[in-house]
Amino acid sequence: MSRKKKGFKFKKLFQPQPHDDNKANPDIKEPITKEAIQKSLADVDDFVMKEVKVGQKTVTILYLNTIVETSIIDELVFNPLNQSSSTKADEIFKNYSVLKKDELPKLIHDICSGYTILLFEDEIIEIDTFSAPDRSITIPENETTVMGPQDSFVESVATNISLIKKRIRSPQLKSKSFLLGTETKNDVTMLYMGNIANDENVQRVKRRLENVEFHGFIGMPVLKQMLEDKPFSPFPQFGITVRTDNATDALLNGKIVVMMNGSPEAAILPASFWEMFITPEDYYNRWTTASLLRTLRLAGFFISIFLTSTYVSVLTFHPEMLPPQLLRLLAESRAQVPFPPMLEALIIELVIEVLREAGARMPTKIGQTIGIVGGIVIGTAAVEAGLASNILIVLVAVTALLSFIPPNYLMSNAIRFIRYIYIIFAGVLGMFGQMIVLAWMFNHLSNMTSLGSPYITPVIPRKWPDLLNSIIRAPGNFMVERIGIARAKKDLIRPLDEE
Amino acid sequence: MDTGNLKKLNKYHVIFLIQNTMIGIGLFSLPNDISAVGYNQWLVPLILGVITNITLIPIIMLCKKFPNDSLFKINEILLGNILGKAVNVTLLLYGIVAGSAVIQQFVRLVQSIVLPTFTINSFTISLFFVTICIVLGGIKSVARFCMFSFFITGWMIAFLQWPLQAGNWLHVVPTFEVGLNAWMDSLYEGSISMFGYGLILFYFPYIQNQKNVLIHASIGIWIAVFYYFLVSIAAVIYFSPWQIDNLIFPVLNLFQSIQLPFVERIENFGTTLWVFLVLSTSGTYLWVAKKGMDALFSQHKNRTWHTYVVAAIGTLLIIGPIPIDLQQRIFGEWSVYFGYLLNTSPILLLFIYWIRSNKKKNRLDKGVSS
Repeated sequence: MSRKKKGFKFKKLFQPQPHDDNKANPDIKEPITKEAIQKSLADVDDFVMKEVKVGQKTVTILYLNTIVETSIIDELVFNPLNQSSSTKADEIFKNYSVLKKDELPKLIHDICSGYTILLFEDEIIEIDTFSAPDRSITIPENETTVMGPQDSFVESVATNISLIKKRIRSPQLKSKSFLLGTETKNDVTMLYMGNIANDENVQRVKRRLENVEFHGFIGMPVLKQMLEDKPFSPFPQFGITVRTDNATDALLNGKIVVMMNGSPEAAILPASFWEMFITPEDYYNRWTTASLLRTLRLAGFFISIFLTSTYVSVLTFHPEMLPPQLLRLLAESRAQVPFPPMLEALIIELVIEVLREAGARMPTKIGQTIGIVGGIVIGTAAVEAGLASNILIVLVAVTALLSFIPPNYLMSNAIRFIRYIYIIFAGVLGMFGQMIVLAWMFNHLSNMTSLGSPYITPVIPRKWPDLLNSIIRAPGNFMVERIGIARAKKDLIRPLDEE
Repeated sequence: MDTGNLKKLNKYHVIFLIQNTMIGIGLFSLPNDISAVGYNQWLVPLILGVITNITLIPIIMLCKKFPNDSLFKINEILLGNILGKAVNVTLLLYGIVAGSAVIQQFVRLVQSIVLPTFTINSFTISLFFVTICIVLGGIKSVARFCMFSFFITGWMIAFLQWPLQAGNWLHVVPTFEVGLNAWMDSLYEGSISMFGYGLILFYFPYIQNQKNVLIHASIGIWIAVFYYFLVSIAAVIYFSPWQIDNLIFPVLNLFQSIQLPFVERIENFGTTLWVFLVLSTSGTYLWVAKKGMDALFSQHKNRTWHTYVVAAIGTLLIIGPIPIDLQQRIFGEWSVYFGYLLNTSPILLLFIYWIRSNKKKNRLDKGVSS
């Protein structure tokens, strides 16, 4: 068996099929004619093709009126045309770019991107008149902090880059754009610090972005999953954020930030398991508070996966482990419960999931009412009816709260998922089952990589200075090196020899 | 996944591979195994540590003669193709038998202590499943798992504070009342707990810093010895001589001395957490067995499915239709003899190497003089 044959090849299931425009590549050459443009944009109702007389000659103007506002096109195109008697583009317009006569695919793509095309007799130019409405910058509602900057990314990649550039005023902040999605042709931009980011990582991200083949991306999280090292793992392997300070910090540590037009999230590559538990607020707090909170988050992760499953395993197989008082308490609370502990725990966990999911999907105004109905009515009624033990309700509630501790939403969802594996194994094999899953999980984590770097840095490979910025967040003066996972070109944050 | 002789193990990997392969299930019964010398038993791990460290020297010497070859290749070079392959078959069997011996003893323990109403089938299959996951990642994955299992289980040594407080410290005073035979008996029984360091013969080619490997391997050995030493000291202090002689798993009884306000019968927890030590030990042995299959059936080339084969054979050894007396002979006797053979064979191989290189030298000298 050769090495190439190994592993599951998804593509083998689906043979390639002929496709209209298989690559989102506007560099393909085709001559520009009015007929060809009309053919390409046939049945596009908002396509406007106007002919305007300028002096003795006619200029054809092409644009989509849904993404170009009248006032903008008036100001940028029609007014200069009307006010000028010249027939040469460079005498009429200041800001424009020239299209070659054989760049039809690029022309079509640019019209769809909000450009206005002007067909002069001897040249073709385009002016950026994109003016679709944008959301204004708001506070990051899903990643809130008490201190620190309160602006968050929006759906426009240009605005997002400007938010980053506002913070890093350096020519070393490099950006490279890609056009991804055969149908949607999303603008995707990768940002990195040229003097800090590891060249191999930069090349790797470029290669992965270039190799992505998909019809379109409805959001950055979709693209992010396609770039990840292990698609089958329940754990997120790259960071994702809408916070500007998070992205800035990542860039300064030598990481690569990938943004997409139409999605407020930015992906941070690479990211370690531990970084899913870090918020920028840790750096705004005093080191003592930050260290305490980080300890709490890591402990929360383990308690969250172990609490309910331990209830199940101890009550099912090891009741002798409980001291008499606790055993009596549990026995009384479970006296009327007709289900085995595993089923009981799974039912209550599922009820919590249903409440959470319903709360997330239903209109805000009804959400609060349902929260009260779910939390109080179902919880109390279930206990009184003898369907569940009240101790389990407490444990499940604590677990549900703990699963929200990680600042990374995808990580908290991963915890939600693996908790069920623990509960099922605890119900089948008791504490042995829990430990087997724990061993599997550690092995899985230790073999995972994020952009080729070990996922559980700084545990593996240990980089001692990383420990100063791990569970303990040392005071700023002690953090002299960049974090290890990004394998930054320059390790030192500041020139120590000057001190 | 291993794709060749890439140097991928750093010094920490080596230390913890050595240490964790040594500490497996043997620690559970160690105070009982070495009980022939009574209260003097805490000296046995120290003596064994010295002996182990001495036997490590020829092992490392042999490895350094062939820095890019594992023992499978060395055997083929030194013993010739046919004899070398025959010895490799033995080593392959050793990998499977030793790996499953650890799992077999552990599942028996779990069955008798933690889940008495279960058969061992589900434990065995789940343990082998995780072992396969570990081995599939290659030796570095095994080494990483060893590091994890050290930190996840190592802290349990703090539990010894209860027996140490409750026992009589005067038991520790060495009395040397037993004869040489008892000492030899203890050393023989205790040596089984030391096996595992010899596997460096197989993963030596993957080590980055091969120059200082003796120091790193010795550190690993002495960490294990330190744990053995502490446990036997605690057993000496806490138990009476009769208890040490008759308790099959004294560590379990040490666990029972622990008094925590919110939980009882902590040995359930301790025994199940031991799964990390068992998996790291069996993982290393199964990796060796997998490499053995690579050596025998695919000219040392990496084949993923070999992992499944060795794991399947290992599972069958435990839960397959094998007569119980044969099974006991395989796990109780063969694995021990195999272990002795592996750890002492480097002396013989070094001797062959010395003879061969002398012959070669003589031939060259003759060639020059004629």
